[in-house]
Amino acid sequence: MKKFYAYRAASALAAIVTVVVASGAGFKWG
Amino acid sequence: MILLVLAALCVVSVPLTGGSLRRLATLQVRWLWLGPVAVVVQTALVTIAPGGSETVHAVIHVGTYVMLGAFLWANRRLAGVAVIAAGAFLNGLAITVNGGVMPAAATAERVAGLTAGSGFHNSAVVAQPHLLWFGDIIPVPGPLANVLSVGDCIIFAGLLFFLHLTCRGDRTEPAVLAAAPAEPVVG
Repeated sequence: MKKFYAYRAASALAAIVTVVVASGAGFKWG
Repeated sequence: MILLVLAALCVVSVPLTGGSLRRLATLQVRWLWLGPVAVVVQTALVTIAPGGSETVHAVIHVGTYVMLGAFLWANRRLAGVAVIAAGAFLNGLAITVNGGVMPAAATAERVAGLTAGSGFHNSAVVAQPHLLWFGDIIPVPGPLANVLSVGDCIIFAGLLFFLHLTCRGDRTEPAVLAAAPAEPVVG
């Protein structure tokens, strides 16, 4: 059960962080 | 890359201030895959395939913002997401009205020490920029030199709202939530 919640928390965190980085055009090397 | 570092600092700030990242497990986040896909596509545009048609690059770049908009709309009820959406909207607006490229201020790029290379850049100095105030006008010099926009700052404020409102306070712990019986409907 702990692993399940850790997975859920990590998934939610990864989703929101990637959206934040992409929203900021995070990979701007110009 | 600086945005990744800033995002990591936002995440680290939660346990440092007494919050629990485990509470993120209580959220129902929809369309989890859209963010990673948008990042992969944007990264591919500027690293793997910066050459070729500028128009195709621009359309795909704007398309990633459509994907992000879909994610943010689907998850609009989560704390802080409306703030993130406001910042993303400003960035997306600036990119759209400038032909798929985030307009950057030449002065900001110079102060940050950035030099433009060849090929497609998702952020670049545009000859006749529109809505430059929403473009990349904030220089960040140093080892992670970059230029940021007002939208970027709003997005990170939203991330802090999201993390701290979700991971602090009296929200029910995941294990307790799973064990609790459904509340009866009154009225």
